[in-house]
Amino acid sequence: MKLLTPISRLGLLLALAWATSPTALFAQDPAAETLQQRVGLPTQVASPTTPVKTDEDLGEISVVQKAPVPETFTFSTSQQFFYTDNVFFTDVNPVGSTAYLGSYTASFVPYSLRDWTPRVAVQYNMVRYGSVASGDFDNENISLSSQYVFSKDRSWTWTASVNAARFTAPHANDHEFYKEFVYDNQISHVEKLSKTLPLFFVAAYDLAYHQANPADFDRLDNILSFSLVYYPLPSVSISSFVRPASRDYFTNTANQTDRTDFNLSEGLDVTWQPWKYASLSADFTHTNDYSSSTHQSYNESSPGVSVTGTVKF
Amino acid sequence: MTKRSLTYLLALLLVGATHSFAADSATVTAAVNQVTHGPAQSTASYPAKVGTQLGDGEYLKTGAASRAEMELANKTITRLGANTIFNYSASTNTIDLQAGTFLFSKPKDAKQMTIKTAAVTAAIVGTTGFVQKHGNGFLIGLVEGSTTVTIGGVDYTIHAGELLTYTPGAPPQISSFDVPKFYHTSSFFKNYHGHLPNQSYIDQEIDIYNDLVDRGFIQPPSDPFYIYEPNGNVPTTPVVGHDSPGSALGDFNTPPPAPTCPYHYCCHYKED
Repeated sequence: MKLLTPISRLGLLLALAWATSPTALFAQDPAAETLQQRVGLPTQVASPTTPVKTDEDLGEISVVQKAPVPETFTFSTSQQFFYTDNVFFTDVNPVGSTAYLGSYTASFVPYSLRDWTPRVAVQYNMVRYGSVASGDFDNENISLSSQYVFSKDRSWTWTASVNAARFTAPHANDHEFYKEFVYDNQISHVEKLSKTLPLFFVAAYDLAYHQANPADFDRLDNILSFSLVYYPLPSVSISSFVRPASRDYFTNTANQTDRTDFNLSEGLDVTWQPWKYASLSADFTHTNDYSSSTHQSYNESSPGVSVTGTVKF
Repeated sequence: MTKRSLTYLLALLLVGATHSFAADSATVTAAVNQVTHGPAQSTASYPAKVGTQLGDGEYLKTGAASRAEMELANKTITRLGANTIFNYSASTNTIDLQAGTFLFSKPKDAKQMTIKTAAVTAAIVGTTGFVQKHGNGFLIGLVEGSTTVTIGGVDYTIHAGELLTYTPGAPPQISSFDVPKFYHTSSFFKNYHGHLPNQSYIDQEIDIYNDLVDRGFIQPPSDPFYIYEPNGNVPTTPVVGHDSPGSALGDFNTPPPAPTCPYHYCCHYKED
């Protein structure tokens, strides 16, 4: 059984929630919102009693329903600082470290319909550790996605995407140590839980195939996500999530045979968006991974803060 | 100084004074039926004709079945509907709407113009829209551009194609309206032949509106009726894919790097 090098998978956990996530790529929202994207369920109200107003001078003023139009260009950056109690993702002698994740994203929507949004996105990430420089890495992504809303109240969404990613080691002549395609299909649903409180429930199911190089890491993910999001103020969100996932690896090696992992993440996030171009977040995530392969299981906790800037036009 | 020089000097002073007055005042450019003006609402009023200039703070008033157009000192065009009265101050660049309905089209420059009533204030930078005040009710809609409306100390931003309605005692409501239909049925556009300073932006906004209708973003009201927040993006959650690259990075670094010492006791041990 392969003994995993105790290397910085915690950073990867946080970084790749962005980096290998097509949804995160096209979402273009603050890092904290990658856990639960900003809830945008429309408010259902009574039909206007006077949808058409006729006035001697104004003529006819007809009220219409207008759905939000995706911005054509989006540029965003997220600067995240976090700490992990288990840099090496190991059960033995866990070591803590501070870390930095710098993320830069650009996305383009060439055309869109009310219920369909295709998107192209590119993203660059750099991860640097305070005490484990050999764990530093850079990551580049390009993502193509198609988002289709298939319910009138926009509460049900199907997103299909493909993401190409490469990972390089900055301290080893930018050696490319890993690359993959991720083919993902996601169904998500959002529900407003209270008529009076801005409290939302978000659920999603993902079926994601990872075609990797080296092929040892080809795998199929089944992921469920459940979130509660509360907005005490329009600019403040408090969210919690739980995310169980199974991972089935297809390639048997000397270190793994019929490997299956069960991964469970829970977290809490508070985001403040004082300005439409910027937000501040604080979050805490805990992950348990139970693997059928020896020495692959781990536990890890990570608090972090981040600042995010976004421009859309 | 000769008599001729004195005459020239006097003429120059008169032209300068006239020019200065024109720059600080508003000029009536159309008047149909009963249109009056005056320094204050309570004082005697005077008929307003094409070419009449209003001094700082003066009012313009239209009667029943009347209308008027006025060019303000900041080159904004205003078109007043029937039974409308407002005061205009060039020094503060403010329109104080007492009652009625008017259209405004302010050129896109950096200078802010304020439209206010007793309860509502709107900051206009470069926008075409309309305002109506009937009793305590207030209505503002934009054909192009955007503006910030302040009600009770709270700012509401509205954009082209949006309508804000407010009645004291209830929160303001923002909804979208059919811009082309308004443009083609409103007497503010049908009954005037003059050129609005933002006409090209109005035409552009109508093209954008029609394109959004074609793409399904704008639809007639239906039941249930939905109001979308500015951040009305469809919620999604990310795919998590951190495990395999992490393992690969571990393989790449085999043999594993010696972990740096995170604890003081271990550093002391090494020093020893």
